[in-house]
Amino acid sequence: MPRGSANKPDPPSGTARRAEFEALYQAHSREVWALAYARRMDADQAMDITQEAFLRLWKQWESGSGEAIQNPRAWLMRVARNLAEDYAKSAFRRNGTQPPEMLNGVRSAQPEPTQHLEQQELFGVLRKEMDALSAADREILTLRYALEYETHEIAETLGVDVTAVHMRLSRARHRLAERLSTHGEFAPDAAEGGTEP
Amino acid sequence: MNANATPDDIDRLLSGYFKAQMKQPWPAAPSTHLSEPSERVASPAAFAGNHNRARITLAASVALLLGTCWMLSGDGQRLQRTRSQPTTNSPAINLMDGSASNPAVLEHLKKDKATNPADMLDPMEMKDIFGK
Repeated sequence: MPRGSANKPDPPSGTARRAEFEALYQAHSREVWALAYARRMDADQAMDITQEAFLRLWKQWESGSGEAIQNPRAWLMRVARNLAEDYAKSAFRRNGTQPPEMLNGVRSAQPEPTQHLEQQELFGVLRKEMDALSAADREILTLRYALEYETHEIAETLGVDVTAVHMRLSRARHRLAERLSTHGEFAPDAAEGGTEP
Repeated sequence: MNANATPDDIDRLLSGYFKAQMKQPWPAAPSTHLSEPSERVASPAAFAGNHNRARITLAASVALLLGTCWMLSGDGQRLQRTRSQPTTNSPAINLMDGSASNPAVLEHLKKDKATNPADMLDPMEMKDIFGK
């Protein structure tokens, strides 16, 4: 894994730095996106936050001053978390307590228009109910299902042990199924078991 | 999906949901070339050359502007008027400085024209009359 180099005595050339930046992006951009998505529940905003976080990393390298980045991944996650909070505040100022269109931005590769609409509707319900979950529940579900992380990877990311990951994941699924059952989508029992990573 | 869904359905639903949410193909890393300083700007020699040229251009522009303003102002007009005045050897009569309102000159012109209309006023004589 590439490492941050803001504190190296001899800064790399522009090409080498760009290559390092690209490698960092390939390694961590999905994880940064997932973190932002778990907080904003908007794919486009999460991508904006991801791109902005990486641009700030680049600018930090370019400036060559200030905080030395020992762990770029942790640095990116922290910046993305702060950006997501800033987005939340600005979105509140723009929209008050009402969220923007819940169904906007749901993408699907379904070729059939009817299936596409049904899936879009189902995803819209899922998004709405996930949005109602706690941030911790959303985060662990995102890590598991968006990034397809194994239990030990989730444990490492969240800084908890594997047993706690199993428990939190199971509870998050159960709470989500409970909420979906009010729409007739799932019985809460459907969440028991599931596919453990 | 309905209430009779199997326990794995929620996994499939969540996996499908996040798969739909994540862009395919995944976007490339953001462009950073705009934040990189160019070599021309970063090079001290190039910067010094550009700086000197800019200073010379600025000085020439200011001088041109001041000259234009000066030409359009009264000083310029006065200079043009001075340059357009005839020399002592010029046969033309310059009345631009208001000599036509001088009664003595007018009287002289009338008298001279009455006696010899074809004659032109002698410039040397005009000089004596005008005192210039």
